[in-house]
Amino acid sequence: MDLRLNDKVALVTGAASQIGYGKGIALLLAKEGCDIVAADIDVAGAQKTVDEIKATGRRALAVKVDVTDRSQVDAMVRTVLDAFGKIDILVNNAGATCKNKLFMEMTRADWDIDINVNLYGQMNVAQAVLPHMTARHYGRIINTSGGMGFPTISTYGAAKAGVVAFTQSLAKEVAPMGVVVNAVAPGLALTGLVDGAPPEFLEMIRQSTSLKRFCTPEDLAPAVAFLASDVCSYMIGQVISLAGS
Amino acid sequence: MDCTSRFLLKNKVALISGAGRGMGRAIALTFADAGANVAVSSRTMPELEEVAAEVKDRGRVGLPIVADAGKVDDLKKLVATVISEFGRIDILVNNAGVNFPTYSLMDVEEEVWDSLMNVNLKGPFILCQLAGRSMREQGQGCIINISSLAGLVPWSKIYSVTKAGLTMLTEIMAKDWGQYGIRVNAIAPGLVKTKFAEPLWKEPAWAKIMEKNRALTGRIGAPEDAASAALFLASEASSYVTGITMVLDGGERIGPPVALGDM
Repeated sequence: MDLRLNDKVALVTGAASQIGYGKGIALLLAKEGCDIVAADIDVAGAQKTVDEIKATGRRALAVKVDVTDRSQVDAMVRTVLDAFGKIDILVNNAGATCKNKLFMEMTRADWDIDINVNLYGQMNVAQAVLPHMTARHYGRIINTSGGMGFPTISTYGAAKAGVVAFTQSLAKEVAPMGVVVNAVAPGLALTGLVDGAPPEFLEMIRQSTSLKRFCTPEDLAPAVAFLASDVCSYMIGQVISLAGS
Repeated sequence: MDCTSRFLLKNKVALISGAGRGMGRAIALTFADAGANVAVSSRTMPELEEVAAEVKDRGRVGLPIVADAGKVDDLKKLVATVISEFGRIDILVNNAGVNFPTYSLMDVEEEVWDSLMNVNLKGPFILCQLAGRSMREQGQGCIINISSLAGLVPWSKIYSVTKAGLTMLTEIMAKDWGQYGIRVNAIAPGLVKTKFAEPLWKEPAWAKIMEKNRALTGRIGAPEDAASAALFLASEASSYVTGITMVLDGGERIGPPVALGDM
């Protein structure tokens, strides 16, 4: 099946971690012919991702950005448009967590990390790219939802649920302007986001999956590629869940 | 890690019910393009022979087998034939479905309930069992149930009930059979321009809904939408996806039927 991703420009946020989802997505889109912008607060890590992509012959650019800072986000979009002339695909992958606290122990600073990065961050970047996408009458936005509903991720889950509702409404607003918006909800993977999580917690999650294993970047990336493709034009405002359960 | 190869079905054996036309045919041809050998089934041999010929044109083996999706004996013979010819079943697509023209839920006969349940829910369950046993021995397999938006919203009386059942069956089987390396997912299309749905998309009340939908994406659903989603679900591209229902409705179901122009 021709996904028709050749020569598209994909902006992937949160693409610095060498074991994370973002890098896996960026690599796979590059293999399918995309030019890649790897954006992250850790620009050195993003550069490592970019170097690996460039070695395959695709164009790639690392950009430093804190997705919670709108002026940085706007500057990033200007940089991408100057470098590549267009943005076809946005993968809102950047995420963070205040790391597994019971709600009663959380501070406002903890809430802010969870909500600002995981919800506002995705909204900032989406809003910054949309004028360009709607003017071209073409775009694909893939937001990232995910875990919710179990203890110690109350505000993280609130942000992820917010992403689902945001995806639904935004999809209906911009579909007539040629922009297709969907989301993925990856299951738990052994990425930087779970550093320090108790082993019993991780094992409980693993046992609860139907496939009895964790999700990996290699699992998530093709789902993102599908949502980023031209063959996915009638799926609007949906969430592909990769919970393996 | 190559992307395109994740979407291939190299030498996989697929069995598709209701494959003589519409979505079933589109899925058969998309699978053949991706490298699969395809057994196609329905009640109508001339249509199946045409699809099988189109599969052969793509360099793959196409096997037409007549079977009534609501008759357990037919389904047993169907699966036995596929395994006898190919030695295995890697992918099952439960696409066959039936509906009846408008009726009163208060007065409709029991036979209508039985007929809808037999084809739309029991038949798929039986095929899942029969194919599933082969997949369990193989240590891997993939089942795709074609449900409907009508299984998620109460639009179509008993048909909705059968499709809601199929969606839940998908989740149950995914949970139960993941241990055997079998993934089970569903696709819920909205209104698709096929012969099956013709009474709907030609009817004025539906045409009005579809106009609102068309305002979102510029078109109504096509069989190829379901086919590409089915390829995603059938292939290694969806290696960690099981128990889900992919909704392909152009945004129809999200929120109330309000278009931007109404606001």
